[in-house]
Amino acid sequence: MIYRLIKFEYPSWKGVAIFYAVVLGCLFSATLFAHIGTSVTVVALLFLLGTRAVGRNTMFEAALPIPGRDIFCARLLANLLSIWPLFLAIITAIPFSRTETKAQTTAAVIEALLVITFGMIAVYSFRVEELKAPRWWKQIIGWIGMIAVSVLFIQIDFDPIPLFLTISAIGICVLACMALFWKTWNSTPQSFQRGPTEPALRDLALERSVYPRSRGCPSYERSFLHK
Amino acid sequence: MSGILEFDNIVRAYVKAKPVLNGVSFSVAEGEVVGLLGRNGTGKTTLIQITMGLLFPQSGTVRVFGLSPATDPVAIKKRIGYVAEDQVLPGASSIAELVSFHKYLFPRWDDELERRILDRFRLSPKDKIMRLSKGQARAIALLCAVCHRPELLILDEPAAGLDPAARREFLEVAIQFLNREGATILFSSHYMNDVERIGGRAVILDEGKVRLDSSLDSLREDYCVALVPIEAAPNPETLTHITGCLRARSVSRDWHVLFHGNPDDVQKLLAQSVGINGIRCDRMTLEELFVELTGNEQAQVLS
Repeated sequence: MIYRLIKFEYPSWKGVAIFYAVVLGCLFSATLFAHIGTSVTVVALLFLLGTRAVGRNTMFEAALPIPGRDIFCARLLANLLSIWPLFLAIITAIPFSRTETKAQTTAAVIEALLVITFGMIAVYSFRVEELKAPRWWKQIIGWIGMIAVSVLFIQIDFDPIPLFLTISAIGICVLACMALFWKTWNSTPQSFQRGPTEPALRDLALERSVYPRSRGCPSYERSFLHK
Repeated sequence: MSGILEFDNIVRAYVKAKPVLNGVSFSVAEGEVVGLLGRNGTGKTTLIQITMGLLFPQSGTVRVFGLSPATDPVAIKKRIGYVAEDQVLPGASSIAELVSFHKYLFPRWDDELERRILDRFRLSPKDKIMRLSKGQARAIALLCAVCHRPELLILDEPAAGLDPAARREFLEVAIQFLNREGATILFSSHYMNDVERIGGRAVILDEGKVRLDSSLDSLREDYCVALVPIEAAPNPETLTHITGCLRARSVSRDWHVLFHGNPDDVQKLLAQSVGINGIRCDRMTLEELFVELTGNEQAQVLS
């Protein structure tokens, strides 16, 4: 099932192969000239600007008799497939590059990959039962991703930090990814919901609905949201 | 209640204190064809999505084939064919790929019906979904919904946005399916002609409640509208208190008073209450009945 769902993400293998060939060629060239940070930044930006970064589930999948966990795994794997091969290409090119700190650079690229992987899982981890992630949540992840990638760019190209620190960060990232995946997996429902399970409070100023901002704080709602 | 589909006191709100559905109860028996009618925003799609397990009600219970969509959504969806109002199919796939995916999901796939629908809409399995017209895409959605021979077919605004010819073709396929399988069908529509064409029973939603639930034959025979001059009854309450009166609304210089009853009997009742003989009292088409029941804001609604 998961394979078939992924195939819907990549219906044209020929097109995907051409896309990867072009991007990999560019990345490989950039990496050979020691612009590894630039390569990572380009890949991350491609990912963040693409819809994959913020896509979650679709009505097409949700309306079919497919367990929610299968949909979650398929979409996450499809997203990972859009970024992991590119990073692996960069890592493969590092031994041939002109950079003097090959080990630190490799570790930093792996760290960048894990940060982005964490972001991908994070898109799914909030309000898991809903079909789509809230817009503001996707924006937060996008902005944090942009900042993280910029910091990594500086770290990789200009001031590589000691290896043990990066390896520690990798360990933390791996654990964080696993924990977040486990949490999301366990809370994924059998069927995703089209809208929020709880009714929204009305935003009186804008006359539009907003999500509840203070679950568990009724006095705040009474005071400020005219509940 | 007993039936394939049972709604009991369903309440669902998107915004607090403004429920879209506010105590909706009705059931659909096996083999029944039910048209779900209502103005925009009256909760037709919400109710359908609750049936599919795509939304949970905030209170009330839903049973589909005796199961709850909240706890057994996958088992329920296996037995339902569903065409959504805003159905989005994976555009980059071909029809053949989409069909292959559905065959994998639904082992009871009917190849013969698939071929007939493709022929009917002049579609090739090699066609890409993204290159199809809106009507063709709806046809593919219908194909995916009916070819696994579901026990319950749910069509949410199935013909919305289609030209009359495409709409007619779409409905003919649905009717053929209905005749062949004797399936239960729940469909929502704004087109009264469509409802009259395939529906056996109409459920009209208004202001979050079931305003009317009746067979189409009964709707045609058992309801009428009386046109009472406003001068004859300046206060609408004199009309709404008459036995069988459902609603009175002002239209131009008349009250349009909707009654459950035979026009002759209603004329007699009006003559007794208002003191005017020969008040015009007519039976209605489904569309007229719908307008009278859910019509403009000046209407005086009988609770």
